[in-house]
Amino acid sequence: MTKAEELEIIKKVIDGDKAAFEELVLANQNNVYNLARKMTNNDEDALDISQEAFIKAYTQLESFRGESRFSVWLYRLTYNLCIDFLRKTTRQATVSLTYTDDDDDIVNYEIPDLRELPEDALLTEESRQIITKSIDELNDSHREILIMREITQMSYEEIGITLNINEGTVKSRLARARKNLVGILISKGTFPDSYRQKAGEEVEDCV
Amino acid sequence: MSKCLEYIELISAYIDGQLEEDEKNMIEAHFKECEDCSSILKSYEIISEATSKSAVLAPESLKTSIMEKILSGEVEFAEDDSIATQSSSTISDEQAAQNLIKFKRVNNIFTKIIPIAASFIFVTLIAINLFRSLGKNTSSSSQDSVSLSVRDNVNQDESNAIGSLPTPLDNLGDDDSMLPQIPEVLDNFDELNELELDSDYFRQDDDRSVSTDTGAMSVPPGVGNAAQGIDDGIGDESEEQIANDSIDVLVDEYYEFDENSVDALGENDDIWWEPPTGLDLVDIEMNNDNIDMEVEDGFDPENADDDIVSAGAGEHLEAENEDDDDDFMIHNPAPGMFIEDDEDDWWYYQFEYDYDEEDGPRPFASITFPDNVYAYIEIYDELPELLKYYYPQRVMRNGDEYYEVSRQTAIELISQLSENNDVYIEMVNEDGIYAIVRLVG
Repeated sequence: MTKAEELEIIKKVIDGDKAAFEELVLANQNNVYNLARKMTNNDEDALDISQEAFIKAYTQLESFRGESRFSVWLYRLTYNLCIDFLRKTTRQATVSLTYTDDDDDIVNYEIPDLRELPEDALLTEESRQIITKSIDELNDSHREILIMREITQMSYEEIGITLNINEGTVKSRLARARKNLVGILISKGTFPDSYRQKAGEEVEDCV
Repeated sequence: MSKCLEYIELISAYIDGQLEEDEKNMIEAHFKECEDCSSILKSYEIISEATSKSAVLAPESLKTSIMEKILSGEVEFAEDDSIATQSSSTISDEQAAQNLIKFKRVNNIFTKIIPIAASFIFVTLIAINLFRSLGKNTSSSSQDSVSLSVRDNVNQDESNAIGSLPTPLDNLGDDDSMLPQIPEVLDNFDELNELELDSDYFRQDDDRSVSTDTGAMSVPPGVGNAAQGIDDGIGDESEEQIANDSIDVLVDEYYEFDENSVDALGENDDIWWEPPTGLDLVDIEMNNDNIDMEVEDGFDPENADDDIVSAGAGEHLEAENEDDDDDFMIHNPAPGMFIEDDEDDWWYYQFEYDYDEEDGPRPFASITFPDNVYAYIEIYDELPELLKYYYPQRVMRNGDEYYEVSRQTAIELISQLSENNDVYIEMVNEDGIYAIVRLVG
């Protein structure tokens, strides 16, 4: 759905055609639900939050100025609701399990040895589940940006607007998130042991 | 920086299809010769494939329940009553700072008493409102009155600070409707964007650590020491080197870049410059928001170096009497300090961070705080624990929760956060949102 189409529907809804809102729901419900689902890790909570996001978007539709896509505005609403929800449900326990990695320290950069492994061997259902669950062990900013990119397939621009960061930050944060996720997967044995845990000097040597 | 490290940053963008054609070609060529980077690419691809397949379809009940509520009229467009609920009074920073000091001082004594007292007041308020609403059988705006009274607590005079202590965080409860509502005014986008540009270095710096960034605002002890070192010998390269090496901070002088208006000074002509001749400073006073400079009578701001106001909005105040000196005021100066050299010349030194060998010094990370602008701070994870010591005001805007803190408090809080936190500050004046700054942890 293009931005113009979104605006046309919004105008209809504001003019009294409430049923037209269904088109906006249909176009965005999967992304909204998946975003909430991965952020909360609970299907029921995700359903509640998704519903609340759409209702909130509907009630505030008149204040929507069209400066961004409706879908992006909706993602931001959803994201804020998720953050509120998570804050209220105290995530301290999961925080303590967070995989910690010094982002700025290249010494910790681990490279999985995937040279000899056929891709099929890695992508078993079990592996997929471990990979997606391992996202939860990232810190919040890395987790949410990976969810937005990988699961809801949001563009860099959309992520930037939703998280209120510029695209350069989206790019670098995604890179760090992926790097840390690889580290987690190596530590779990999902990815084969790194054939070497690189120090910065060694990485420099590779070219 | 090694080539591989640069590629590693690009691999993520590569699988997202975000590279320009030349970058794409370059990295694809690199993959052919570098097994490490190929392995990283493969791991990212596997992650992408696995995670994208974990997306599910939204349950049918989602759309049904939403549309039922809408079509039945259960939900309607919200009226924008946010202005009506806005408290016209605002707390001054001085008051906030004084209150903050008082809060800290009494914290130990009242740690146990306050929650009990606050809980009692809270319950009493609810009971009174309930009683009123039942007795009068009206739907009066009890929420508004409670909200305003909570907000007004922060605005009490210092002399009443103990009695006006905001309720500790833990006892605020989850009922958002009881919280003050602050408006979201979006009419001043020009101002908003302007200040966003001022704060852009936070954004551009990507994932730099918060502690480094926020040091620029609070001027950590190490920086102060380094500046003192420069004062001992202007143009002394070794002092600068010490500062640079020890704390990764480059102290740079203020008047620069415009060689037509300044003259080189000292041994290190590349760095140190004489102040513009049109500006003859007599005296300088600094406070948190402004630099007041007394200048000799006849100072012509038109001929002053433009850079002098680049750290904040400048204002030239004509002297009232001939005997007086003119004043020149820089509002909201960026962090830095004035130093007097042996010739009684004044210099404004600006702290710059993360000296980049290729790009040269970059403007340091700073936020300027205009008058009457307050900080609303939204931090994840560590916030509750930290905020307990500051007794912030929890407020709501369009359903989102924020904490109202003084600017000083915001700075203190940020400086205590770890790297893994995102800090989200909304600078707000009485007209609404002024600027949004997000520091990336």
